[in-house]
Amino acid sequence: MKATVHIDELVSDSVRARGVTLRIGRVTEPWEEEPGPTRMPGIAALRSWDRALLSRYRPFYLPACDLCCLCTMGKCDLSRGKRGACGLDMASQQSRLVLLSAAIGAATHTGHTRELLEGLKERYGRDLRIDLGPSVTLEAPHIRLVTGIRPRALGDLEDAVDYCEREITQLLSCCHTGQEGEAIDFESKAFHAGMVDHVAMEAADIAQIAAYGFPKGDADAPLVELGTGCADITKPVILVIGHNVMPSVAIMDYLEEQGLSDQVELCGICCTALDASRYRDRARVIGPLSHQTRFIRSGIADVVVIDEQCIRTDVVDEAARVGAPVIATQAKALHGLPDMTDETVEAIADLLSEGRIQGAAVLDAGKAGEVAVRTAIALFPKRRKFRNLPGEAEVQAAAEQCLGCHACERVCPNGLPLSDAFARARDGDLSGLANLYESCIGCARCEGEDVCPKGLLPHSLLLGASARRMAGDRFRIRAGRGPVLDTEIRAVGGPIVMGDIPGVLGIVGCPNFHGPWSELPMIAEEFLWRRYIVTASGCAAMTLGMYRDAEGQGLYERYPGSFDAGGLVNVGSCVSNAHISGAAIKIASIFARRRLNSNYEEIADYVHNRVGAVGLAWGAMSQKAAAIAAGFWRLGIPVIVGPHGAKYRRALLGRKDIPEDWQIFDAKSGERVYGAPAPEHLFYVAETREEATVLIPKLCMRPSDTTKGRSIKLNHYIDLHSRFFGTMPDDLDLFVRTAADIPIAMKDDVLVVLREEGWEEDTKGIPDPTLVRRFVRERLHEH
Amino acid sequence: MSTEPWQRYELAGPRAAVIRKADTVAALLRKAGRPVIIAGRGVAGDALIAAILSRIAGATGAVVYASPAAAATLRENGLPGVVPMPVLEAGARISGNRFPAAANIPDLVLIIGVDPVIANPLEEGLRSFGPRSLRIVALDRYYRPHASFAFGNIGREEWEEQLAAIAGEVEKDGR
Repeated sequence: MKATVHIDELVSDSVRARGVTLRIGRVTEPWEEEPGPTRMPGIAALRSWDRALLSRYRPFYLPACDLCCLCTMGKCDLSRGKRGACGLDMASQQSRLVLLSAAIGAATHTGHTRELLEGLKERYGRDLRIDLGPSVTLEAPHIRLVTGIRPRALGDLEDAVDYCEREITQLLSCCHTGQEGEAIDFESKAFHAGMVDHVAMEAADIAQIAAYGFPKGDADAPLVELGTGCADITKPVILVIGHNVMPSVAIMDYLEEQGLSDQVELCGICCTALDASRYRDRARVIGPLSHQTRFIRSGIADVVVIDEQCIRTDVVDEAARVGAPVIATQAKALHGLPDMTDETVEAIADLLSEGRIQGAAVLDAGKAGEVAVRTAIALFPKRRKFRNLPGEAEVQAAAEQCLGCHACERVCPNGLPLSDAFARARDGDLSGLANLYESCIGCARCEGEDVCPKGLLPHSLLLGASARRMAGDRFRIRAGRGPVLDTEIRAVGGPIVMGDIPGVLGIVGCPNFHGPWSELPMIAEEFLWRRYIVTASGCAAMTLGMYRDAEGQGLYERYPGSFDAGGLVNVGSCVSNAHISGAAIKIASIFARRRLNSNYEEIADYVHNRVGAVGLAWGAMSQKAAAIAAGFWRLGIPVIVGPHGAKYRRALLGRKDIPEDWQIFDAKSGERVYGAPAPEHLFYVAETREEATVLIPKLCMRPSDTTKGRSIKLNHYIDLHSRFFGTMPDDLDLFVRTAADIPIAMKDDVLVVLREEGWEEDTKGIPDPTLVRRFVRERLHEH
Repeated sequence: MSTEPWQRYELAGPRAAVIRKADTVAALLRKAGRPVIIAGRGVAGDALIAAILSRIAGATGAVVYASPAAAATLRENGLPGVVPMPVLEAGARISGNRFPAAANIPDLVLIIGVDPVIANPLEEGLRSFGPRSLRIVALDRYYRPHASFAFGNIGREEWEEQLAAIAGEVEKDGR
């Protein structure tokens, strides 16, 4: 909030003045809650908390490379215990890369937030109220928890974003040669990057919800079109790619102003599509970022508009293949295009539609929107739809040339069996290629220079064999609803903490899957019908929608959008992830009434020990995903990734066989007690969908579970283990505290297993768990 | 037999020596004081490979950690004592330097049925953080440079023959 004070006449002992005007840049309204100990924590302020977590969940490093190449003293070989010229060892180098990745991710979200905030302030003013609806009084759990700011207007977010920028600079500086030197301290800083990342994401999303009128925690947010087949190809089509919705909003505003909304299609890929559909439900969501190459090559888009993040860096070349111009709208991603921001709309649109330039950078969202619409309308009659992919006869003819050398398979990140598929296609059976459509991440590495000795283009051939599938892929996704309501937290906080609701599963991240994308909705559905709360965001939220049951219904059509048992909650785009972690914080604040203001350690301790939440980033690919995961880790929330996640360079694994690792303080008595490996891991790479599915209920167990809650969680764990692996779990003795914990229907079988393990009942009762000795003293006072 | 990594990975030190004869692996097993086998999802449902692994484990006393799906197949094919454990967890335990007694520290690990996406970083993790004396043998049929020993890129038939020959060699020893 700004203030201006005008004084007609000022008289004091030393000054006499007339017509004095005082302008106060920022007035911070006090927040009634007393601040805790960590307001705007620096990079080492939460070190002891991080170390408490990291002493349980020790890093297992998985180097992708033996070498460090970051300074001119190297390259240094760090393998087998060697140190680099600067003294760094392999563990520290890997953890440095973890930090670097998380810091890049946090910087990317913070840069996005800064861009968005400045744009929104310019358009709506810095005094625009952050109003997330009557059921959201705790509008910014991360910002309040970390920075101590209670944001009431757009301008109040400036300090939070300033804080993020400062911290990221400090964190990046730690990666410099001769700076931080120990692996666990690097890890702690990576956690810090994650915490900062969630602050930035939250600021971005609440700003755009407030300014653009996105759904405000609406469980019944509209169902919108999803899939490569949902674009109406009888109209000009504009494709937007990226994460910053401002240009998409400008396009939709211009279409409405001109009465063209029904005459031009706006489609999107990646999070910008999700946010566009939160603005207007007629926006089409084509799919996650893996759909970029395939959709551009289909030729459906007449114009491609890019903003920022996760855009294929060959987008200009790909679009040029099908004669579609590219409009870059953000300085972060110019792609070599000429800056035409100062030219007139007409001049730019003419140059683009006449094909005199391949694309243009237009760094003014409003102007870019107008250029995109005009260009699409002008180009539409000249372009062919869906004829840019090879036909079935061409695919078969190309397959006849395949030598079966497997070169395309070896460069494929998923090692897809393309040679076998070509062998079948040679005989006229294209189903082998078409069956790879879902497992292909659309990278087109198989078409690199010199990959195929015959010069074949396997990705295009795969798409040609899948053309009918692409045209028919039409699904529905619930538009991102934004935050979880305070009222929902009040209703489910108790059941989650007690365990009656067995867990909250957050499905997030990118589409870098190791198998078919249908694996992800299958996992989600397993937990939806078991009445877990399933939340989703970003590309993962789209993937959940790209699956239908026998009746043709998708998950979003079959499950309610409420934050409740059996609800499927699409919070929105990448930056909306903050609402998922924010819900855990809200449980601590609203349900358990723990102090929120600048009180990170206590809230994280509460979440870690009581809130049975687990993140699943099955296709995580990006540095942003690394930062998002790091934000969950610092809150003590475990994250599971798919096989490609091993390339994040380390796992954080607990050792359930070492009882000392699971000692906690019982805040009721002050004693150290055994708390069970709950949750067992903090960052886990699963080899298969089945492994992840069985692990999820296990990672939802917490030391504070009531007997009823533990029984429900064990029931799901045992049931899934038996179903997928054919046996009872071999670690039940670690999780069954008393006979009352055993699911009634399984009692006899479980007791047999327990007796074999020499299990004894724990007579100490359920603890009031904490990892932090300081909280014992504080809680004892309360008791 | 090609010895280019099936997928691109970088390493500074010497690449895995190529296993050309079953004798090489049999000799390593003979010499090992505490061999361990890690079996990944690729073994699940592959009765033939599971049976060969059971023979190797039976003859050498190797502890077999298998991802849970693979454990079921191994159990059905003659290895009731298999320890179900996800592959990275098994790797972390071997490299974690937290063994109850020195005698338990593995000195040889055979890795099979693990997708290269996980196997390459796992083998590099073991190479960098495992016990100094640890030898890592990649038993899959695609060359994996981070191991100490690995097959070249070979066909399924040859691979089966090689694995069966390893089992035959160690069974001859009657260990």
